[in-house]
Amino acid sequence: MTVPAIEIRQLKKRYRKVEALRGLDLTVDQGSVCGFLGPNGAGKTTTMKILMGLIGPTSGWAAVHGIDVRGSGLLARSRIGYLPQDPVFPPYQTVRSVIATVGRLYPGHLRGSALRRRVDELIDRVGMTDKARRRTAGLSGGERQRLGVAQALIGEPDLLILDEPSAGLDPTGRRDMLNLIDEIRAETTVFYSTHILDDVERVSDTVVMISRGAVVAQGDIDEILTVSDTDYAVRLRGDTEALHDRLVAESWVDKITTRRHGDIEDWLVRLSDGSAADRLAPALVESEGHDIVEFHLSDRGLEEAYLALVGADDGD
Amino acid sequence: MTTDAGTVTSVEKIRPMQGLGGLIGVDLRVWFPLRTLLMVVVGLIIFGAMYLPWSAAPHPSVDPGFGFLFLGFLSVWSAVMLISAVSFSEGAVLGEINRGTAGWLAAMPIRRASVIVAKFTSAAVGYAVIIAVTGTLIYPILAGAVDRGGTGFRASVVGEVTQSPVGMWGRFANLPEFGNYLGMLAAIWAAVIFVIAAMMLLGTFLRSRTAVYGFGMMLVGVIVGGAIFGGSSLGATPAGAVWAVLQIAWGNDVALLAPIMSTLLLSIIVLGAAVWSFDRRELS
Repeated sequence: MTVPAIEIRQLKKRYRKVEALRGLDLTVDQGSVCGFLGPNGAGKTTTMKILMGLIGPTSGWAAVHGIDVRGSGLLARSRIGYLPQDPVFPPYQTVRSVIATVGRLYPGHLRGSALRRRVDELIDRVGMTDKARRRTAGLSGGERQRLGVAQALIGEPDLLILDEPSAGLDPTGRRDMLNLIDEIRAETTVFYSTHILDDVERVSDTVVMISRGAVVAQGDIDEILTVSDTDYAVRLRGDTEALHDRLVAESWVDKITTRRHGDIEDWLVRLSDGSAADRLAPALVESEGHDIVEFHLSDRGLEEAYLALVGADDGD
Repeated sequence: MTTDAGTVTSVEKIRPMQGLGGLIGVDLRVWFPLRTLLMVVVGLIIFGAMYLPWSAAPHPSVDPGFGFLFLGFLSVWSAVMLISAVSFSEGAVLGEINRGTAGWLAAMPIRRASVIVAKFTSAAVGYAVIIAVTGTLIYPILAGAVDRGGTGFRASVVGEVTQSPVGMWGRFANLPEFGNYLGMLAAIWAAVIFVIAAMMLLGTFLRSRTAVYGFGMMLVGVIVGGAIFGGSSLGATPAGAVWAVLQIAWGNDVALLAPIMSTLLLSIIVLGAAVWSFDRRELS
């Protein structure tokens, strides 16, 4: 059996009074592009920092390619390339020297002309050839992100961990970043966090959704998007409050997620089981004060799946 | 190894100080960019051209009191070096932590100890060069002071021997004894190194650069105050090293090796504490 690229078991992290991770369990297979989704404060960056050995967990266990990140952090990090959330580099160094410096820190690194060639190749790959001699202090946010990806790739890592790689990028920069991730998938496993659901749908094979420090869903993106016979999409116009109150009180309704656009309200109704649909339809029709615009089994996109699983909760 | 969680590989196959050479190279380039080195060389040439002919002039043209003035300068030079070490190194660790570059480095396949050791090594080399260059500039001035009898600094035996063959440069017959001079520079360097190690330790556990700076200045105050008021009883401490510098400048015979070695040993102990503390700090 292939060892997972990332394996995390019962990972907990407490910052004084805040419990950032509450027994996180996740697995990322080798060769996959895995999107790590969750609201602000859900624990995505904390998880990545633990994997990189920047902070220690309160309890639990994490491994990269079977290597314990606590006990053998150095060995684990030698197989990882990392882009932090807001990458900063020594301001006096140039783009080229940053990448070369990082290259020299990896065990068995390239030297001399081979290293220079590899640095130039990566600079070209991230589209920074004309800025190769520029000091990092003068780079824009998008340029620092691209430099961050280049330096993360210099060690030819087996696993690339990218924390919000497309955050703060303009549409062109975002597109370029996604194209780059798409290209890299052939060379390494990519584990990246993001808020942007479209990005995940476009480049990910698998998704891990996290909320309040625990995983709420993980698997192939097709599985996550698969229609469930318990999830119904309802679009209503008018006064929906009474109907909402009545339905949430029913034992056969697990959860209702709502979103309002003007006088239209979209509901994602999760039933306790598929047969409860027989009760939902009459309940919608019998109730007064609103029009039913749509009612069907949810053909959810990632956004609906995310809202259903994570809810409208913005975390802590 | 097998745990409840699964099979874990925990065999380290990487050199203990993996990446240290690369880090020292980067830090040294901060200390010695090519442009700075060129400026130092040009500065030395200009200084030599201006000062050496005056120093070698056959007739004294400066009041002997110049020697005492120079001794005053030499006395505060140690303090100036220590204060500059505080100013330089207050951000060496905490500045990097706050900026995020410490976290960036710590995420690399290197031990955190390498980050501290690289910074310390480059600072040690940097200050060795600064003190050597400054010492070279001071040496002919000191020669002038010695020649005019304004200082108790002991004359060089080598200078006396070489007086005759060097013609007009025989004015340097009374060059300061070079062994003592080098020892004095080494003692200043050792005290500076101790301050840098202490600043790095402070940077690993304090949260404010102002606090690091404040504690650093207090430390310099204790060292200089100890050197002035503590006397020979502080022989094996950094204050004792500075005290020895002042004694030699005034022409007294004191042992330099013991305070230098003990100060360097203390620096290594403090650096070890800095590594231990940095290893446990959570980084962003």
